[in-house]
Amino acid sequence: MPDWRAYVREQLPLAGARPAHEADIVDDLASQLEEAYREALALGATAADAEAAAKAHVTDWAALARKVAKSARIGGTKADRLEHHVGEAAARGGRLARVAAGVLADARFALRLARGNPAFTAVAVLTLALGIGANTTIFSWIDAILLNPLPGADPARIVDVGLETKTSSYTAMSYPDYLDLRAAAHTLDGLIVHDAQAGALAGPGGADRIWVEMVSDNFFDVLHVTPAAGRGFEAAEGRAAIPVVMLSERIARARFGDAAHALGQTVDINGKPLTVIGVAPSAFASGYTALAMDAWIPVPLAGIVQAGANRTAVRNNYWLDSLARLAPGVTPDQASADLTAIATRIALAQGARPDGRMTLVPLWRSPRNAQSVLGPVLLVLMAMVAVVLLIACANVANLLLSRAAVRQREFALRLSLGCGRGRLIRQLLTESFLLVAVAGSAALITQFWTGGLLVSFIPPTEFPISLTTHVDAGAAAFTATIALASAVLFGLAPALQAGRTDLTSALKPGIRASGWRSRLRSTLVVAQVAFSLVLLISAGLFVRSLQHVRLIDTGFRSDHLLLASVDLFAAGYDRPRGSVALDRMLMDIRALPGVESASVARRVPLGISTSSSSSDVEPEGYVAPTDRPAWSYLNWVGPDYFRTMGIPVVAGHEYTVADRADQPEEFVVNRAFVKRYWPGQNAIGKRIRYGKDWFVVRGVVADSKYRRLNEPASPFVYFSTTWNYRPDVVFHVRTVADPVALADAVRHAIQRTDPRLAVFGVTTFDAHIEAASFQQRLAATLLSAFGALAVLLASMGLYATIAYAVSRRTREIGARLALGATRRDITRLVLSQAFRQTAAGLGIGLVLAAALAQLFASLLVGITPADPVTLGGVTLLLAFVAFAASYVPARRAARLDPLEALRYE
Amino acid sequence: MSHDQLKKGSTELLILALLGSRARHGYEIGKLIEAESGGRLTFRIGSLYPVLCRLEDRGLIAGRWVEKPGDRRRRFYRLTPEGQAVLKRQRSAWEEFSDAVNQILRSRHA
Repeated sequence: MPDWRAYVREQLPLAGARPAHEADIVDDLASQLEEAYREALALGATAADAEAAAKAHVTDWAALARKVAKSARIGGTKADRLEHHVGEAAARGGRLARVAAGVLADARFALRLARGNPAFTAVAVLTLALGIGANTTIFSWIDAILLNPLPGADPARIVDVGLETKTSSYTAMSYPDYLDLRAAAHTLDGLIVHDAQAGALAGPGGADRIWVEMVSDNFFDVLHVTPAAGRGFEAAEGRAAIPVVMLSERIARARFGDAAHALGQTVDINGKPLTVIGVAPSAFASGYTALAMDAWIPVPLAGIVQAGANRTAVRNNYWLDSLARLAPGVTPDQASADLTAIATRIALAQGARPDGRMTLVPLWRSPRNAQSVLGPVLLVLMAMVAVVLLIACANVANLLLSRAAVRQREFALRLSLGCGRGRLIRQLLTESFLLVAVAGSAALITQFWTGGLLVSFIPPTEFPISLTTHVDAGAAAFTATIALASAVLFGLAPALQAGRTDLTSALKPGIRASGWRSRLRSTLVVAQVAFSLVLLISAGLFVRSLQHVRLIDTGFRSDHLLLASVDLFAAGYDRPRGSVALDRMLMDIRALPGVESASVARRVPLGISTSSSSSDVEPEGYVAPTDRPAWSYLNWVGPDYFRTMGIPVVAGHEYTVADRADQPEEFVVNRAFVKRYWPGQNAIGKRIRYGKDWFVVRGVVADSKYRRLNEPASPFVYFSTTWNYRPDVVFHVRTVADPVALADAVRHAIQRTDPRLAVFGVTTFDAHIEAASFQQRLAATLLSAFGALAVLLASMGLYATIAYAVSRRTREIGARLALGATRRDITRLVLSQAFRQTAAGLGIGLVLAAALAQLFASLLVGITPADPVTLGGVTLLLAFVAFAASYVPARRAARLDPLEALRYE
Repeated sequence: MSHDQLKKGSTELLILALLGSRARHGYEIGKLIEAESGGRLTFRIGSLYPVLCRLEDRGLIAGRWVEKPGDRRRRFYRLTPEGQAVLKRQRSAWEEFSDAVNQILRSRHA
């Protein structure tokens, strides 16, 4: 076959074409000629005839080259072509087209300008990208946690449902109540309940610990989640215990290769065979924000993963969390009223006293889950990154103003040549938009990395965390909006200012106009200092909180303590076998060298996911007000628990290995319990009613923290595991040396009793309570970074302003020096200007910070928002930075040669 | 007016119309015009190619390289959204125009 490419290249005289375009044209033509040649061959022509036929397609190569040369593929850039089209459109008429043509010309001019001054462009773009990027990142976190926590259609209508009574806020729901509410609710497009529990999924190499979400049958429908394969649950499965399960895509893929192959298979969870009817899509993690579940079962199957009696039929057992989808046009308040009315009817029909009201709140206001932990911190961060952006805008506005000063004559020249002032303003705004377009794109791209940073702040939890932030249309729209807003914010003042250019003075050499400009710049500097102070004070408050958190007395010794969890229920143990196994495991752990003492407990205090238990109790002789029954936090602990935890026993004695289940059960309470219910009395020997029975108090222990570091001491009842078997416990091991070194030994000691038992959550107690200071650490780390950024930007701004002021006053300073002013006088003159601006900024900043800090007062630990150490220290720090930033130009001014200065233009 | 001149005026519309349904190779366009016009309209590569360039410049069509292993890369042209809009406009303008012309020619003929 002839080489058609060589042929075209030889024939086509394309002078001046760029190589890439030339190659395109040559290849395109060659492929067409080759096609013609092949077709001729296929029709039976000889090779020579086919070649001739193909060649006959182009006879006048010179004419073809001429025509093609006009095309944009040969000459010109994309911008040329675009401008050409817009120009054509403009010529055809239409005001819009003419404006478009003008803007395009402005953009090209701005592009040239940006290229011509790369340092300026780089600083401005970087500053803006940092400001916009910080906002985009925090927004993506807010989007993932608060705005759009559950992937599904129209998430705005999903609300969190809770029951508020006089004594408890926001409790869960019982299954019988749920079924009645769901049947009667007309303001909802669906009501669902769910709860999460760990379980064991049998596999070829032993059991895997998985998380199972028990859900109502309509769960996937109401959340608008379409299974990746198979189906969701059906109504019958919500009423009776039909052994079906849905798997996560991850599990389906790991076990069966892919989603489709999982359908119809049998999996074994906690020893119970279940048929896989569907696979959830990978985008859907669970009904709980930021938690990833592995399997879903209908609520009637709850007994598979939950120890104890079946709760699904018990009306006063409140254990299910609830979500609802509002019907179109219904507000959360209307639905709350509707559900409350239904709940009242249900209670009356049951012969119960109607108690409390149903509360429906948007997901971002949910008082439980990740929203409640992260929400407050995220809102503080959002406010702070907005401040960072304001500082960035002020900085760029300052840069633009100083450049506008340099370009004064250019503006005047353009104005005098007939360019309208509006046209000039548009030109400058276009330049600003160009800057934010680049900065915004950079911010959006960096979000691919920064979006995932949040996860790295989250401490280890017993739950599987799934936090995915997306760079999607919403994020892009948000970025574009704030980028445009900032362009207007920083671009408008310099643009308007250029529009005010005074023709006569600007064109004359040596005269510098506009006190307006320097006033504007001073204002910007004052604003920057003020905003920086706000940021630094906020950062300082959280850093100090974090210090306090570390100093707070938790009431126990967290060092040299190792934790390890087991779940005997999931492993198939019944109560008698389970208690024997736990005793043996504890014995084996205690026998390990390097172990001082060991115990078990149901709940570990101060984790991020620590679920607390509390209950109404009846302390003997205490008369509770009718609306506020006596209550207490609860925990289930083993022998030697208090010794192992380092919680002092202040009266009586603690549970010991000598306790036997056939003796009468006794309680241990804490000091706060005694103080509240039996003030000034000896608690030992007193009785407490819990449920139906009375129990004698055998010991009183010191108070310790349970849920939060800054909580007040609360009443506590400790049950003993000797009388109250718990299959799901955490071993607490006090070690002589580094607890990490004993982790494997403890694991093996536990598995000596049962080699197949999964041991999970092996960690030190210190690592565990890092979680308790999570909010403070997240805020302190990020705000410190933002604060440092703000100080850098503000000092740059201050330096630039003072340096500019000095250059503007060069001749004046020369005259002063010539007339006998000393260099100290000059330094003082310049510094006083800087001092005035800094002082004004600091004053305003203090007021703003005081107001803003009230918003996050509840997140602070151990200090008030008006913490004098923070306020004073940070103000001094910023004052010093401001002084340093202005000292450099002040010294330069003082060193001016008077003669040179007087000649200065 | 000669056949050639009529042809020249309508080439663009023909190309747009043929690319309306799917992307095509440059040579294929010429062959299709020939086939669908029953051989009455023929275009050589030399005369069709500048029109393709022009249409692409105006953003009405867009070319894309398709490479198959062991084969020369070939450029396929498809209609852009603007091209679709222009095709729609030109098609109705053409129909209106040709109706009007036919009407006049017929009445004069009669």
